[in-house]
Amino acid sequence: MSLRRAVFAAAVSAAAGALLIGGGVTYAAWSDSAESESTTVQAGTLTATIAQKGPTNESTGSNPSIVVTSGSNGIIPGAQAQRWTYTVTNSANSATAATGTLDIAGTPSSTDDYAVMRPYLRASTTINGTKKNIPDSAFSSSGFSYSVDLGKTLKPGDSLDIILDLSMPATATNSAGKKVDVAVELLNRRSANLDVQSIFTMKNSAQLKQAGKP
Amino acid sequence: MKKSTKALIAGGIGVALLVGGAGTVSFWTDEAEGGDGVISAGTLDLGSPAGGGWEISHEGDGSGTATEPVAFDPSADQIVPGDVLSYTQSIPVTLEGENIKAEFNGSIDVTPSTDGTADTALSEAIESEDLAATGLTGATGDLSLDGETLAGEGDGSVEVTTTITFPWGTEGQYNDAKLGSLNFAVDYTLTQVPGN
Repeated sequence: MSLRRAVFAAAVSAAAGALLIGGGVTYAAWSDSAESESTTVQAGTLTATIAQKGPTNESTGSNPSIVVTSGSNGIIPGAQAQRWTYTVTNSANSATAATGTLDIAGTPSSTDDYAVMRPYLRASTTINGTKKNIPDSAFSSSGFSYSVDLGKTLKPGDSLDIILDLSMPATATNSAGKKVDVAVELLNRRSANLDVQSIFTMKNSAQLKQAGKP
Repeated sequence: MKKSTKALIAGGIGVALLVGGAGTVSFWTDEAEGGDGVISAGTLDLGSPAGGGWEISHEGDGSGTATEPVAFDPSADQIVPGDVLSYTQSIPVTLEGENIKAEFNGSIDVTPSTDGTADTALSEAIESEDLAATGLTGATGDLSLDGETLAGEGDGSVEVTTTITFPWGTEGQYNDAKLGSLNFAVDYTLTQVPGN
């Protein structure tokens, strides 16, 4: 065997060795496996419910010159408001605490009446005794829309009452900067004493979101 | 003189040939066998996983500190987005062999309990976080655990903790997974690695 051939043979056998080593997955090293028991894990849920009471007549203001006829329903400027009470509940079936909003949406019953009343409409919410005025911007040309932050985390089974008052002041400054008697301004829009004239059709909803902070 | 030199050379070759044919020469020989011996292979064995303790903590959207882990009962408790579940098992191992060394590993198997929408959504939402050997208990011999690698001979139990997470996601992202159900299992493997 010439020297050249010997080197070639050695190189070939070395390469074959490298192939064997390189093919690690084909090594018949020992292995064993074991499987745990299968366990079923279930997800919970988050369910919001909303209940409504009202509207009821609520006395507002104490202007002695305004006399409310007994049994009068509806909003009376400076004297009587309309009150709804919404109870938002995080269902006892929920698996998590939640924060959320009460989304108020009122569609005008009469576009014409609403356009005239709109500058004088006032709204407020009361949660746990704390009253907050809803900004006038909630009354847009298309209707009444506002999202009330519940302001607290509801655990499963917890409820929160949100009181919504709709009212009109006795007097207001109109768009011309003139202070006017609202009742007089809306004289032609009022209903009969014992009747009610719809301003809005309310369609409210509660949104609960899982609380992000542990 | 020339002739006798040739004869001497020829004779030398003859003797060399005779000496070279050693097998035919009847001088003394002896032989002895080594002592008998049995060579045994070692083993590498994973026993049946024992126990199986669940714990749950909640990290919510990550804005706060995660809650301390508490016991979780899969038959009664439910998970929600932001939960982290850990499952700890003890897996018996046996290694025998002078140069045995093995790597412990496993794969997490999460599958929907049924083809239903909620089950599928839950199974898809779950993230398999980690599977880690956290310790070796009851070790005999010189069996030891370094990271995921077992070395030495003996028996013991590897403590393995598996972690899965129900991510927080974006608002409403996992609504489909409400009341979903999944099956969870872990496939453990022990594979020999070179001992050098």
